[in-house]
This record gives sequence, structure tokens and C-alpha cells, in this order.
Amino acid sequence: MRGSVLKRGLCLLIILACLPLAGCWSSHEVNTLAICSALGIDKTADGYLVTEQVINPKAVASTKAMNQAPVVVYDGAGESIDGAINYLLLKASRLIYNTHLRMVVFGEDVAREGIGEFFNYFMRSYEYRTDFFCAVAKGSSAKDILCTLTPLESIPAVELFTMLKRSSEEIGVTRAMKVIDLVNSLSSEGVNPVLTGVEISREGEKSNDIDVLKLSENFEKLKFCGLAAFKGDRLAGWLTEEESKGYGYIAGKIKGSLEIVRCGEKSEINCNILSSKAKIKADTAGGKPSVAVEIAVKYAVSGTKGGFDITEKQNIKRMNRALENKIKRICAAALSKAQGKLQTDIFGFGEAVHRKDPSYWNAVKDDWEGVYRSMPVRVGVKAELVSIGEITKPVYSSKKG
Amino acid sequence: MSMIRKGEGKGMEKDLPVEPSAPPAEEAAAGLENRLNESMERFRQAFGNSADLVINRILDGEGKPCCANAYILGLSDGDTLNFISGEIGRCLGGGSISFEGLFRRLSCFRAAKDDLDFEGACRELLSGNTVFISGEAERFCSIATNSNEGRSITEPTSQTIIKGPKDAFTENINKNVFLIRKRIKSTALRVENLSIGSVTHTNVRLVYIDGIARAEILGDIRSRLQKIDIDCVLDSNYIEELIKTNKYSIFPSALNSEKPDSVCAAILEGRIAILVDGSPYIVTAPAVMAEFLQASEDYYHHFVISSFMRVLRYISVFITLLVPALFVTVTTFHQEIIPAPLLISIAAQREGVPFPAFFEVLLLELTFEILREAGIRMPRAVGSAISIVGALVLGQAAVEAGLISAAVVIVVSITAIASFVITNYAMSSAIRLLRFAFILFAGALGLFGITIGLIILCLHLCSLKSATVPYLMPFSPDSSSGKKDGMIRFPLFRLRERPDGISACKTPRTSGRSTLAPDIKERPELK
Repeated sequence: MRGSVLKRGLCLLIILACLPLAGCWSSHEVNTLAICSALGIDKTADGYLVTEQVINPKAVASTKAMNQAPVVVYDGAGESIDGAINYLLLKASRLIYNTHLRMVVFGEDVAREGIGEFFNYFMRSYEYRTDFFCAVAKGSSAKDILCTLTPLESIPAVELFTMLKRSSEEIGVTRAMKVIDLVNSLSSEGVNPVLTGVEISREGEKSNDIDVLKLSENFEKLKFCGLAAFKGDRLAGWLTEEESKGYGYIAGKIKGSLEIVRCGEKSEINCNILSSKAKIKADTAGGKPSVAVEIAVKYAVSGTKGGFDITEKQNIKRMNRALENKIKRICAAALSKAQGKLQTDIFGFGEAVHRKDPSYWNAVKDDWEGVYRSMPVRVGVKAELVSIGEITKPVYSSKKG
Repeated sequence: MSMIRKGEGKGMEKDLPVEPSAPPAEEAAAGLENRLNESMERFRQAFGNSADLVINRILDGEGKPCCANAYILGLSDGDTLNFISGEIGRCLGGGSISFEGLFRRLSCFRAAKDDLDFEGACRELLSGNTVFISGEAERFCSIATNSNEGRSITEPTSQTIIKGPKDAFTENINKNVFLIRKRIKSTALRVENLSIGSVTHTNVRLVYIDGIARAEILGDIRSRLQKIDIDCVLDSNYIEELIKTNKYSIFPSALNSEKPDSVCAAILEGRIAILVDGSPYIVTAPAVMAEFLQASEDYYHHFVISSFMRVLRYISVFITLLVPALFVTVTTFHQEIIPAPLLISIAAQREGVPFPAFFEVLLLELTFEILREAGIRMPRAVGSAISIVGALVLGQAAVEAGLISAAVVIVVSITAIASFVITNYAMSSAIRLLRFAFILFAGALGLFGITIGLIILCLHLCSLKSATVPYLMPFSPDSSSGKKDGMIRFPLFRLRERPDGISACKTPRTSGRSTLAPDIKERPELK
């Protein structure tokens, strides 16, 4: 008995002794990592310039005031994105750690050349958590975007991330595209992706110095500016903010927005869009495809101007009509831009046609662009008033006087 | 020798000095006296002339020695001795009386044993009883005079409560039986006496309720107790360790408690209590894992609140076991699963810390264990020094000096606090020790290692048995009635059945009479 216990104990000891032999393989202490918050990709003559916005934890989470920038930007050039990231190690002592990436910003020239390959990389590499948002730099390089410091969130990528999320929920001009959505629309037929554009609003001093953040105004800020429409994986062109909203209505992506409509000559109503749903119905009768978009919008009145009495039933109808027309106008603008100038089916009309009539789709698939350009699209909007706010009649009306 | 004489002189007035000064008498009387002296000498020799052994001769009305009595000073109760000597005096006052008559008279008042052999008589002496030595033949009888001296019943020190009975067991086995008897006024309560320890001959008692306790378990425990081969039993843990089924397991297989109410509750569920003389901790067996996470107080509060507390304790077990390991693995292998802001905050704290997280956690956990041990062992008078050194020097200064990160201090503190939520100290210690194994696993293999550790732990727990009952009883094997009082406590009116596999009794708890009926059948074998 004693012998067998000893033997068993010895076995256990040997097994336990094997544990540290693994040598903590693949372990990295937190303070040996360069935690990247944003990745920027620009074009160079023979490859890419990859920019990594690396968080400086000392500056971000320190309880004492630090005279260091919260982020440090490293860049490296290479023929491929992975190569360029490897090259970064020549500049940074710490291991570039990309799992906590919040934003990926593509330079405009890279976007025009195609972004599909990058997503092959992001999806394949185990290092990416693919919960980051993507954006396209407009009017500046991705590197410049990454170099810009932000005052509210000390990490610019986090500021961009939350800004994008919030603005897509509240305004509807931008779209917070998760990588998985983007990859889905890249890989499926009959729909093209959109990404949000990000630019630097040049209002003063260049804000790549933390001293600039001591100012309350007059420094460069990051700003989102409408959507970038892609054709396949290549950037086709930009939508204005209004057109971006139109895209949102048609694609049913608006979660909230604000429309100002005119009722009568002097009255202006602020309509707070609470929800918006869109149904795309395709029709291929007689070999002539057409698409009908039905948009149902729920809104609340958040402000009136010019003594418009919104308690009257008649006026509610007028208001609904006015809002419907406004949305129709916005949608028409988006449609004409996408169908005319950009010639890219970002709304997913192709998918609707495919669903409706697969055999027809197979026939026109290869020339869908041509069909799409001249395809009639009818937009129907139905607005529904949900709430008129805290008061019924305006507390002060200029008409009274 | 002179000391003995002094003591003897004081002990009883009627006694003669030890040295025989035989008056001239008949032959028979002389023979009796010789035999008596022989026996007395035998006792003295057996005890090696021990200073606290008192042997007195008792003279009859004619001044002739008729018998002798012996006791050990201090072990016997003075009042009882006085009472007995008074009784003897009254007997002898009425003229000549035989040894037989004297003993019969005395045994009316106290527990008595007749016809002991020499070994038995010695044992009686050692138990504090008075032995009467007859001169007529070699015959020893004993009268119970053992002293009940000991600590009075006080509040429990290791199982403190807010609400509920506040008495605790003492070192005196008779008082402990009294505390149980007082609560369970039933004729079915059985008390069995055993003597364990080849040198100490410690009194051990089995207490159970006939008809509720399962015969199979009772037999198992009895046979295990009989097999014990040891020289001494100084605490109930000796018994606990020696009757363990899985002798090398770190997990306690019997519950020990110093609270009579929880021991009674265990007995009423069909468990068997083992009382050891000299230990205020009563062992109850069989014990299942879930029991170690229950407090007697659970039944004295509202069942929702008690259930919440129990769930909290289960969570605490996992916190104690896994939090340091998870911290190590997450900060060295799997940084991607930490939310970004938290990672940044941890990274900022770890800036400039010279040790790897694994070493840091191990170091601080060990430090905590040292502090805890020091807190128990050191003299009370220097108690405050430990808290100052522990809290200020180790906690604050080490963080400020940048030797360890604040997050690790938090992890170690939460582990320490959570470990004290586990009601049973033995279980808490076991889990605290296993925590180190998990830290090693985590440091070497990351989450993969923790998973391996959990699988090993789970297999081990499943393999354990406590007196024929599976250790994870209400959960595995599954028992719906057991689960009613497992992780959550059902209201008392719903707890109508005794736990599966432990009790032999199938009748509801509420019907007392049928419980104790003699024709109760054993519960069928466990699946």
C-alpha cells in the first residue's frame, strides 16, 4: 500500500513538473503589449502604409496628469498589410496587439483600389476580434485621421467608435458597419457596401499635440461626413449627408433622425423620427424590372415654429403629408445619385429582384448595372405621428401679437 | 511517600495510615488484612506510586479493616467523595457490615460496576471513579465519582451567528451529550459508548436516532471506528481523519461543528454524530459537499434570504477557487477577452511592475496565507501589529512602490474575503489550497489549464464517498428531495422528506410517531 502511494505521488509530481515545461508558451504580459486602438491603411507607390494608433496606458489610465499623448501613432510600409505590421516592430518595442481594435480607416485611394483583400486578412487572422467599425478617410490620408487627438475621449479611436455608433442611431447620416455586415454585403450579389466617411474639419490648429486639447475651440476635430458608396469592393463615390439619409430610409437602416418640414408658408415643424421601416418589392413583369420601396415612419413632434396648431386633425394630416414628401425628396436624391452618377446598387435592389424572380436574375446578373441604371424605382412613404410632445398648443405664438 | 500519607490523612478521618499497624486479632482477620494490603500494593505498583493515587482502608465498627477504596485525586468529584464517605460512616455506625452490604448500599445512589478485573478497575480509576477493594477475595467494584469539571457552556467561537441558539459544545463529553439530549427528547435517540486510543482510552460516543439513521451507514461507521489503531485521540479530527473513505483527499468527508443545533439537525436527518471526549467539535457523518456550504442559520431566516445566501456561498467558492487563476490567464494569455477599457486600466497599472502576473499573484496569495496564519498563531497582545503591517505595508506601500499592481491586490482581497464566506473552515482551507493549483495551471496553460484543472477536480469530487454516501449527493447522483435543501433552501413546510441516501426513513418528517415505528423498512439501494 505504502509503495503504491509513493509511486502514485511520484507520478503526480512528474506530471506536475511537466506543467512549467510548457514554458507559458504564447503568454504575453499586458505591459509588453502595444494595444492598438485603430488601424489606418494608405497607399504608397509600391504597397501600403499601415498606421497603428497605439494606446499609451500610462497616459490614458494614470491618476496623475501626464504630459504624454494618450496614443502614439506608428506607421510602416510594406507590400501587404501583414508585412507592414511586422515592419512596425522595428519602431515599437512592444508587440503590436490588434484584438482591441476599434476602428479601421481606409485611405480614399486605397478604397478606390479595393478593400476586399483586407477583409480576407481580417477574417483569417486570429488576432482580429472583428467587432470594430470601418470608415473611409475623406480629403486626408488615414494616417492624418489617426494622428488627430480628440478632447472628450482620450483615445481617438474610441471617440470615433462611439461617435459613429451614436450618430448612426440618432441622425442616420452615418452607418456603423460591423465587419461581419460589410463582409456579407461584399460577398453577396445584388448589393454593394457603403462605409462612412471621416474627415478632419479644419477649424484651426492641428490637433496632434495634447497642448491643443487645452483649448475649447479652434482646433481640428474629426468629423463624419456622409457615406462612401462602393461598387464591389471599390469606392465609387461619396453621398452627401442628405443623400446618405435617403439611403438609410430606402435600406431601412434609420433608427432615428430629425426632419424639418414646412407646413404652409411660415410654419416649420421639427419631426423626430423614432423608427423607420422599409420594404423593397421588386417586380419583373414583362422583362422590365421595377422596384417599389415602401417606407413606414413613426415620428414625434419636437418643435414647431410659426403658430402651426398641431392639435387639429386636419393639420396632422398636412404634417404627415409634408413629412412624407420631404422623405420622398431625400430618397429621390439618393436614388438619382446612386443610379446616375455612381451607378452602384447600394440599396440591395438586386437582391430583391433575385428573391422575386431568380431565373430573371440569372439572366441579367452580369449586366445588372445596366439594368439598374434605368430601372424605375417608386418610393412610397407613410408617416405616422406618435407623440406631439409635452405641450399641445405652443406657449408663445408670434401670430397672437 | 510522606506526601501520600498527608493526603490520605486529610481524605478521610476514619482511615488509618497506610503503613499497616495490625492490631492483634484472629487468624482470619489477619489473612484478610494481608490480602487487602496485597491488593492495595498492587494498585500502587501499577500506578508507579503516583502521587495523586489515594488508597484508603475502611475500618469496621470494631476498628478492623474490612475493605479499601481508591480514587485519583482531582479526577474524582470532591462533593461526591464526601457524600460517599458520609454514607460509609452511617453504614459502619450501625455495627459490623460486610463488604457486600456496604457496596450494595452505595450502589443505590451512583452508577456502579461490580466484579471488575484488575485492568477494569484501573480503567475505572482513570475515569475518575472510586474503586472498592474487598479483602475477602480479590474483588474490585466501582462507584461513579467522576468529576464533571470543565469549561462552562459558552458561545461558539468559530461558527458565529446572528440569529439562533448561541450555546456551543465544550470539551466535556457528558455536557455535549446533554446538549443534544436536551434538544431531542426522544427515546429513539441512541448513545453508544466506545473507547479509542491504546494509551489515552478516550471516550467516544456515537449518537443517532434509531429508525432514522441507516443501518448500513451505522455499520460502516462502527466498523471503521473499531478498526482504528492509534495510541491517542486528542481531538475529533483524529476520528474524522481515520474513518475517511478516501484517506488522501483534501476535502473533508465529515462535518465538524461546535453548535448543538446543527449537530441535532444532522442527527434528525439520519446522520450519525461522533462525540470525542475532550473535543468541542462534534463530527457528523456522512457529509456531502453541499453541507459544507450550509449554515445552521439558513433555517432561522426567511427561506428566500437563506437561499440567496447559499447561492452567494456557491459563487464565493468559485471566486476563491478561480479568480486569481482567471486573472493570471486573462492578463497573460487571453487579453482579447477583457473589455478594452479594463485592459487599458490593467495595462496602466502594470506599467513598471517588475514581475510577471503569474508570479505577482502567487506571491501575494502566499503573503495573504502567511498573514492569515500569523493572525491565528501569534499572541493576542501583538494582534494589531499584523493588521498594520498587512494592510499598510503590504497593500498600500507595495502598490505605491510599483512592486505589485493594484489589480492584483484587489484580486487577492476578494479571494480572501470570499474564502471566509464558506461556512466550514476545513472546506474553506481545502478550496484555498486548490486555488494555488489552479494558479499554476493557469500560469502554465492558460484557460486550457484551468479547464483541465476543473475536469480533474470534478472527477475527484465525483469519486469521493463519505460513509457510503456519494459526496456530491443531491446533484450527482441526482436527488430531487435532496436538492430542495441543496443550493437553495425550500420553505420548511416543503421540506417534508429527509435527504435521499442518508436517512433510512421514508415517512415524512412531520409525522413523528410513524418515524419511530419499529417496522420501518430500509430505503432501497441508491441508484
